Amino acid sequence: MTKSKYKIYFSVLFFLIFSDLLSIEALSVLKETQAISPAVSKKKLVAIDPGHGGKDIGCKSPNGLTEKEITLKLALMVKDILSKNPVMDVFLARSEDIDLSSEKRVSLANSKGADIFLSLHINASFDKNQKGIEIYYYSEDNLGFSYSQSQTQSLNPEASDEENKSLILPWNEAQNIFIPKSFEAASFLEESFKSSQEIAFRSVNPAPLLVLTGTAMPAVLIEAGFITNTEEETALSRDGYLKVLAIKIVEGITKYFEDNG
Amino acid sequence: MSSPVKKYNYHLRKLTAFTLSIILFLSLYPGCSKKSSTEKKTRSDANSENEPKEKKEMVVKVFFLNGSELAYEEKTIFFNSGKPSEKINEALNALIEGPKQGMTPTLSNKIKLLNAFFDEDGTAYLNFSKDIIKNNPGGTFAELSAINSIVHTLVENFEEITAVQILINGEEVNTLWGHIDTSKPFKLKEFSEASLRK
Repeated sequence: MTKSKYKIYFSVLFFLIFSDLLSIEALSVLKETQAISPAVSKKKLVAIDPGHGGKDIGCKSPNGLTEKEITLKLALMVKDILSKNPVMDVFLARSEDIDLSSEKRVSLANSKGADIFLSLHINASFDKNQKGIEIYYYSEDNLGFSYSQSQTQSLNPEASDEENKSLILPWNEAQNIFIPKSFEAASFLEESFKSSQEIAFRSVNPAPLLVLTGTAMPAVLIEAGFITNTEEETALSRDGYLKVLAIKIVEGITKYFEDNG
Repeated sequence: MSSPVKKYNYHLRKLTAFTLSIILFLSLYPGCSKKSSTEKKTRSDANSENEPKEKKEMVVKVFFLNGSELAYEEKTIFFNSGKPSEKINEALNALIEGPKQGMTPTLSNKIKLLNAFFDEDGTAYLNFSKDIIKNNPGGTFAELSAINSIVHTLVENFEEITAVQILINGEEVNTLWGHIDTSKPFKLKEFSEASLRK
């Protein structure tokens, strides 16, 4: 083979290799762009967790109404309202009748980088007179109620002042730094629920909640009424009432995001 | 009688005597280890027998729900003063039995406490049967109330108990009824929301 032919041969080979690498690189950049677009976007991502599901029906009324049905219906209504909101995105931890572990629900929200986590549940009591919405936020130091000291090492406060120091937070401590914001979100939701005359509101409480453990964003659990109370059971069986609850939930988190940029 | 016969008879008598003594020994002393364990058992029985069998009486605060708040009712329990864990059992049984004075129970009376004990660090371990999982109304409020009533009933009555760990069939569980994390012992602690407000 002559020199010129070698040149042509290697030029073509070089071109083929280079263009191949370029296409792979372009593809990965495109994927990354798509992956990070939610964060780059100004939209707030709301994670909704419809409590229970599948074999886990949650609580049940004497008339057969189950918690898992109500929470899914309510979550879908909230999603429907939020999807029309230009500054918010929403995803559901489950959108059908399946059972997911608490860890899986929280992991989904964490992996998607949600800006807030709302776990929807329905309450119950041995006392049929108990009624009203309760909102819970995570706290090991519940009112008159707390855990023993964890055996794991807690976050070293000094480490956060050092540059280039990566810290690993235990799963059960992930929510701790967000507790003030979770409380704030709960307060905005409380205000929103109380603005409706149709809704009975009860309290905002801290609790060592498994369903909020591990969340790496402000997180609350909404107990949207007592299924064991006849009046509330009837209300929760009506789509019209659930719509009112959904609207108030959206109003509450909208105000929270307005206050928190 | 010839000498060999005499010798034979002599050895036969010796062998017979030896065999009989072995048999006698074995029948009188069936086994050294057995005897000592029996002796030990006897000693431990003697110890427990020496322990005061006297039943002690104690008035305890048993916590139920009055509306949405925890409130107590006084009940009298009886327990063997020589068995400290018995008072925990009795206090919990009084809780499971339910209120008598118009308050709301926090646990179903169909559940069973298998056993209870506490360690030198002051943590009481309550071992419930699986019945506790199914027999509940559901919801965070009911679960929190149940745990609160259990912890308050023990911590407020027995100063040697400072924490409570819930077990089901001898094992720690992540949650009791799906909402509250029960993997670690619970303590009573003052809490204020003031630090969370802006």
